[in-house]
Amino acid sequence: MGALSELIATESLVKFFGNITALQELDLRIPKGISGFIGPNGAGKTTTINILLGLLKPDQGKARVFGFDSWHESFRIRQKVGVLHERPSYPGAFTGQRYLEHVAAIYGVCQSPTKVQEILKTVGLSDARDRAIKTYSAGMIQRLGLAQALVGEPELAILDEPTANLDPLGRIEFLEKIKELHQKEGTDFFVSSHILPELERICDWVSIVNHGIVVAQGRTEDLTAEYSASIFKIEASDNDLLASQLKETGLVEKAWTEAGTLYCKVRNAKDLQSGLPKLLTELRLELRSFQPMTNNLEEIFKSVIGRDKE
Amino acid sequence: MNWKLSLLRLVLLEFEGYWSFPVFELVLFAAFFSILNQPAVTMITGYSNLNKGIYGIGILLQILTVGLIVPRSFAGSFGRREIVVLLSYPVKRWSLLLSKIVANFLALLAMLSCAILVAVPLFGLSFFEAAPYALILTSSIQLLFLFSIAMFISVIVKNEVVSVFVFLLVMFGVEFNPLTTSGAFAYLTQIKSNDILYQYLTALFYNTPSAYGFDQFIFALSFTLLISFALITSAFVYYTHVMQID
Repeated sequence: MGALSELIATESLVKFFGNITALQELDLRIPKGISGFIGPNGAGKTTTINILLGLLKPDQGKARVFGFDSWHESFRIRQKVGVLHERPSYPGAFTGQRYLEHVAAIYGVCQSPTKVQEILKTVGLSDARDRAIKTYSAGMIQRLGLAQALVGEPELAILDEPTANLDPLGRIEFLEKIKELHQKEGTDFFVSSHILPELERICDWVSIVNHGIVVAQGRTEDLTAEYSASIFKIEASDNDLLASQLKETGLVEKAWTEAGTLYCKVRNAKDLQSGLPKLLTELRLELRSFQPMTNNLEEIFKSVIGRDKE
Repeated sequence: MNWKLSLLRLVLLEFEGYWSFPVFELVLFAAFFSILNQPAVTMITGYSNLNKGIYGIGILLQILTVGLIVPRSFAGSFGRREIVVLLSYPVKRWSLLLSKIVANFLALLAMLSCAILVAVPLFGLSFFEAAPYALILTSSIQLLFLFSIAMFISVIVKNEVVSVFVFLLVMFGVEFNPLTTSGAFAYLTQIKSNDILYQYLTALFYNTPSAYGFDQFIFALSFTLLISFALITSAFVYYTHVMQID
């Protein structure tokens, strides 16, 4: 992928908080479109976002957004970016409409009440526009967060856990709205989340991060194709014993258990298919299920994170 | 966006959003209440009465007011994560800090001036006399001094409660420390510094002999202004070049 088509690029990004290593050699590539940034809690997602916005300075490495250095040129980045932070806080004394008018003015875009009302309608806050923010529910705050991220007409919207605090229906609506905005307005999105089935619905690109390292990234369909061809899910009467024997015999490249299921990464699927029955007989184990990994993001995530633990 | 417009918008945000009930009203009420409860109010007349009336409790009130309000805006914005949201907008860090300084200082100055001006008729003074304005000028200089200390502590500490505690500890520690009751260190105290500035200015306005000389006045003034300038500059350097927000 050429450098120009990359919205976000980091090179060996390292960040420490005292003795804790939040990011270690993080290499992130985010193209235009809707991209997912997934990882378990504490994986380094929010730290990465804060570095991209110039709120944190990396200890080593570089981060670029639209080609601008995240620490030295953060103002130019923020001119093109709208952000919805995790657990955001907005001044409670303002009404939703008044606050958005201020934000629009800061971005230097048209701040007419009609324009702001359109955004409020888009995020489903029309009825609450004249209410003080301190009276908003958690879900309404989240919607206001999306509105303030979009009111500056950004080229890229960075959303950190955007569906937190939303009910299931609200989540679906919210994600549909993101997809619609991308299609209609051309806004690109970088969405951090750990709710994978939702991301799978909208993302063209996925980066998986764990312990401050990108463990897998690519187009969603490429990742699913790659992982479904080389990773198998096995359930036997003793998964741990089978895992150790599979590794010992060299039938698999890697084997690990995640949530009671044995995952195996293989170089040649035929070797495993022909060698497994013999091994099971020798070990006197019962095979309960054997299947290639299904091509969904959640399975990929589990297998990548589990493999990383190994 | 033009930086002046951006700064103005941020000042408005600070005023509208963070100066809402109940802090402003409560402090104003406390100021009026303190003035109305002065025992010396009806006993003596003249500017020296104004000095005695507002002076002691006024300094205490000023320290408490600054100590509660400045950390609320500066350190509190870290705790409430408002700073994370604001610094994700296209605003320069210096302009955000300046907007907070302008909004908070103007609001505190307005409160202080209101409290003094309300007290003028209570002390039997006229608005056409120099004394109230000398007191406002003196108090403004001292307010800048207190403000810069509280702001510096808040920006470094980033925790509202701890900032209030550290500020009050520093101020009352300096005010009541035996080392600062006399000599050069006395210029660090609000009581001594205020006294020199106010006495000299009123004597100058009324054309009467002052208890303090010009050299002492200049020393007290430059000492206060230099410390304020140094602290504000340090806070700006830290805020714009060093500070990281998680």
